[in-house]
Amino acid sequence: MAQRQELTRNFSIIAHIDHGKSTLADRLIEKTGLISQRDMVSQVLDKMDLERERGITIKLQAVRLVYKAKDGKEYILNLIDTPGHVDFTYEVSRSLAACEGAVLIVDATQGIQAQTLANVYLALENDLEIIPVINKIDLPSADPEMAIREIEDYIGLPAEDAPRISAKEGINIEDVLEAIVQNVPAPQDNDSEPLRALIFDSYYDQYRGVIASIRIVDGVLKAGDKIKFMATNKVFEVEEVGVFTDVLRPVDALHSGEVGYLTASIKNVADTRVGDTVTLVENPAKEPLAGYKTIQPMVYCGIYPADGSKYEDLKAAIAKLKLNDASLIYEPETSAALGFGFRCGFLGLLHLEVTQQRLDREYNLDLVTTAPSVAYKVIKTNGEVLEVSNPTNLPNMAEINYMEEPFVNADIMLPKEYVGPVMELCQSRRGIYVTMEYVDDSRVILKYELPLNEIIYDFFDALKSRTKGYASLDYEIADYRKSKLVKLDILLNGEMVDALSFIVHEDSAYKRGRKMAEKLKKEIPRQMFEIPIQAAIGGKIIARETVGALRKDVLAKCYGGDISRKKKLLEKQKEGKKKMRQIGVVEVPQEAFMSVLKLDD
Amino acid sequence: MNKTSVYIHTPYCKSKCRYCDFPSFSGMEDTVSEYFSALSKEISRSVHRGKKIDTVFFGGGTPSYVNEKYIAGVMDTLRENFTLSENCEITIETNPGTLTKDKLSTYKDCCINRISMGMQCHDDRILSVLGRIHTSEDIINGVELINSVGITNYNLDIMCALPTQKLRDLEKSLEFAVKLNPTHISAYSLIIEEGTPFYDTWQELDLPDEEEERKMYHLCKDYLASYGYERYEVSNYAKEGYICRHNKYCWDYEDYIGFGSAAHSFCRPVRWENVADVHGYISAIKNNTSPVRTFEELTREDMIEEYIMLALRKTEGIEISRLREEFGYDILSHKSIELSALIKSGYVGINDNNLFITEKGFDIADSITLKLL
Repeated sequence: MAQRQELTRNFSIIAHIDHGKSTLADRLIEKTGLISQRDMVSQVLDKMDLERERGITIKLQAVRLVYKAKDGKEYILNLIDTPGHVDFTYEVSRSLAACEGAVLIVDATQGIQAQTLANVYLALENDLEIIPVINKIDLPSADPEMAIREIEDYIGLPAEDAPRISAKEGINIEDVLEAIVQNVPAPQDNDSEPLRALIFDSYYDQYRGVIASIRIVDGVLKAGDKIKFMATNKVFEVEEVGVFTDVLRPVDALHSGEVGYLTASIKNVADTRVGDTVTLVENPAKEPLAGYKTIQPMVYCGIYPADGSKYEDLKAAIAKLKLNDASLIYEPETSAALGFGFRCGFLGLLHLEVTQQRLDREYNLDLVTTAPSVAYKVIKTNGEVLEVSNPTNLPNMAEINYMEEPFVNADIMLPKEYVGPVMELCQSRRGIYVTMEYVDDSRVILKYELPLNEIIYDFFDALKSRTKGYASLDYEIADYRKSKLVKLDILLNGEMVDALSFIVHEDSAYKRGRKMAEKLKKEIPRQMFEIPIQAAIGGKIIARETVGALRKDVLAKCYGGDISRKKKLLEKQKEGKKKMRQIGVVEVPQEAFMSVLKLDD
Repeated sequence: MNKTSVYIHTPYCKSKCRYCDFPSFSGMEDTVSEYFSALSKEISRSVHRGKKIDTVFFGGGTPSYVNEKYIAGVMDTLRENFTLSENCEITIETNPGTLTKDKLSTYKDCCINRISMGMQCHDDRILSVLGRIHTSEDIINGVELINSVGITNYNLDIMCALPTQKLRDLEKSLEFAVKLNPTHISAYSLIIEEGTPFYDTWQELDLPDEEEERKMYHLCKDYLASYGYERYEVSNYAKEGYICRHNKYCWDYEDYIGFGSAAHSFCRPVRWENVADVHGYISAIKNNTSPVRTFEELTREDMIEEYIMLALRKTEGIEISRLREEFGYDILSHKSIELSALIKSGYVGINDNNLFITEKGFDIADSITLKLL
């Protein structure tokens, strides 16, 4: 093996959220001297503010560390970061596919969690060497032996020699680096093979176009090479190849086993799909690398500007977000209630929330979002099959033969004393019990098949509240199944509000309709007249509430000295009204459109 | 046009009422003499000197609490610097607990021709909860004194939605007030204002709920109407010919000039406000600096909004032609959608040249106003 490969290690860090992944990454960077401690913003890998705030990594990144090991040799360690959320399983799997090893962090105070397992399985699927690390040993409640036992018993990995560290306090960080050097296999030297490079991330830079993060599996890539993306069949000429130090550092060539980037005046991140294989136009590889999937949005919702005149701003903002987020899909849509906006598709709820918040914060847009929906398959009586992600587009019931909805395989890890309430919750969400496995004496994994549409509303919150926050959830899409689904409509003052419609299973339609009406009653302020709120299925009213008319809204006194104050008050109210949506004569606050998300007791 | 009214602020009270958030103070009596010197100086150096004044209003605070010579002095200064119109309406606010025959004679002698008396209610127990310094007997005596000096134009302030007050209590207060034969009655619902003692304790006050409060408001309206007091503004009622011209000017969006601490002024298109702090006001005047704290130049849009907001408080409402002529704003076309809905639901009416909030609409006048801004 050439020395280049022998002295390279490619690895990821996998962990449950909050178990210290980003903190360890910081320490590794610090320890290897890539960036001086003084200059280091905490958790450099998590670039976006939002990520830092939520303690999760959304946008993956890679970084190249140089470490002089105890054997006296200098190693190149490529740390490839992975997003830490269930929405991004595919991206995680591609990042892992770019590595030979993975550092598995287990929190010594909490042990193994659902996401830890999910990521371990992903790593094992990619044949990665797993390096267990026990973190947070500095905390009084730490129980490293428990964590080691769990890793050995449940994952089946020997863990007695696992480094016991505190990433936060910088304790035993060197042990982790040594373990990586010693235990992660060096990549193979396949320089002589036709080029195959795995794209595991890409982002858009306004000056250089798309910068694609790649792992060279076979062959060598240089600037000037004519390349082809094997899934999209797009051809480009490479402008620059380089590696990730604290800046993007150009190199002459990237060889097999190396991690780096390429630029090629690519205008659209959609051209550099995660998981795609880069090869050369001349002497192309016969087969692409395995594992490529097209991105399939799972959750949809309508996004509208709160102020209708801001539609163009919203359009520009979404287009900009899309530049860097290939998994976001969107198309224009019109709602009678909300005007012009976009139907957007997301990988999951977190992806949806993050996108909303970025639009709000980075683009300063006030938004109205409709309740999330999944994509249903509608099989019409004439045999036609439609995919419907907006309840408004559901054909007339008479034209529908049957409908199918997506199901997920869900793993819920929880302390055993909460099994009862959680099973009840899953049952009430139409879950199908599969099995229950013990992780250790006190914790179990409940496996359920659940309809995705039951998870996207308030399942996380409900799960948390039933387990005092101790449960963790992981799920993956399983299949589509035939379901008895109906469209529930909401009428305000007799007028149907398209943006409030949602699709629901027949059995829970009455309950949800009633709750929705109650919830809206709380959200809609009293106005000049009584407002009937009705929930209806196919024209049949199933629930009714009434918002009473405003009884009093008049300032008793208003003399010369009160005018300025009074005017300011009116102006504030006027501003507040701008945030309301006018539906017929009824003014509806933005929050009301998300009411369906909070129907759990 | 070109009517100007003058407001004179007296920032002193014998004791502060528990609901009051007005810029008035007790325990600062040692500054009274200096204050009125400053006030006279402010008047005599006013850039508005020479204007014709149609109404004067002494408000507060409690103008009747300070020695009457100060009030007479202000009147002299006004006469020296302004022209008072022939039938100038000159009002002074009084507290029944501060009135004497001498005071009233002095007021009469310096041409004060209208008295406004804060009676609030007839019930001594509630009066003491409010922190009023007077009893119901003081009210009767006060009115007798007013009559005895020959002032026939007087207002009584009544409050409703008071702590522990029931509909029946209010009816008695109204009966009590009407018997005293005022020309004008202001009837306000108690507002719990931030920064007042009531604000902190409102939950313990046993206040009537919203439904009850509205019944009280309607009782005031109906009861007073039956005795010939017509409502002309949200909270103001008058016998024919006795509408308070001073306040009407404010709602009609005419100019007024305020003198004294915390006094507000409006001379189109400018609105300004003096410092509320008494010492600050006195020293500003003494040092020949401006006592103005805030100064705002209104845009046409501001003025349209303010006119609508103020005019809609009156039963006569907005003068459509005036909006068009003075501000070039045609409310009928700009708000045609809102108006047709409001008219259809019976909250707003239109006749000849006026657009007004109806009897049915007055309970939610602010919501209606908001729709028309």
